[in-house]
Amino acid sequence: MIELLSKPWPWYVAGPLIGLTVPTLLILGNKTFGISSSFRHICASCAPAGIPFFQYDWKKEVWNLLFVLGIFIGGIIAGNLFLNPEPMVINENLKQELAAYGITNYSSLVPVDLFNWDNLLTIKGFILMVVVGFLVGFGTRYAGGCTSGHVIMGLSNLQWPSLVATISLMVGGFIMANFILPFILKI
Amino acid sequence: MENNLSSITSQELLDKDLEQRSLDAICVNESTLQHEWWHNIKYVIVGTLFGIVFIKAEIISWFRIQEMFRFQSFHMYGVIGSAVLVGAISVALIKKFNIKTIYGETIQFHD
Repeated sequence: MIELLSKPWPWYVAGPLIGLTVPTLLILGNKTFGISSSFRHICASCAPAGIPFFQYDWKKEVWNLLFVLGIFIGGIIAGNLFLNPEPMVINENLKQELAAYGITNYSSLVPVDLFNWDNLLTIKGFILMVVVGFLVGFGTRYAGGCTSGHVIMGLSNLQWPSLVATISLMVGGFIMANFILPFILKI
Repeated sequence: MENNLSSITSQELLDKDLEQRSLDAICVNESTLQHEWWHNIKYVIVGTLFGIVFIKAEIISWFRIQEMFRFQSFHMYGVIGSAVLVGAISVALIKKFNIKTIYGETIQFHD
């Protein structure tokens, strides 16, 4: 059992399970699936700072914070109990390309060659961790939702803005991964 | 501030609060029921299962995301595609059969 759980799960198992999160949250208590709103609730609860955007009864959305807490707990469980002992298997072309940038460690879900404490204070590491982190947060807020909210919940509910967000997300990711990231990795 | 608040009804206040919470957000709590705190534990459980799926299917992996945007793997497209398909069918079924929450509330969609 543990062995089966430890292997990476195929898309046709994970995808439907993620899709089922949408009706589960709706039926459990009229909650629309999303993750990034939790950032807003944290701001509203910790430092509303007189900004109207943060002035609402955040306690009504406490479920969202607990949902995100659950994801964190799930991450700890999967990352320890069901940890895949094998290195990640990825496309050979990508592997060769990444090796040219000095990325050869596949022991973790993120490349530890890039994301580590020593790298944080280098220009490359600072861009990859701090600048990009800011862009992720800014884009999520600017679009009014992240991948889970727009792509999974929004598209499931056939909302036009979510389709626009999804297409933009794919185009942005394509440009970044293919045309901009190679320059950052060369620094 | 206090005087202003007392002049409007509590329902107006509730509506205003929902409006404020919905501002530029697609993920809001539509339930008007009041529950004891422990009712929220179910969201921790759903979140935990969701988190396990995210890790085990390597969806949060930097490598998988690189593969996706370079069109070198079908994995992420399979995950997103089947998730949206299952989600859309579920939402359509909830609307068609007017399925209620476990507390008997009508499920709200705002589109």
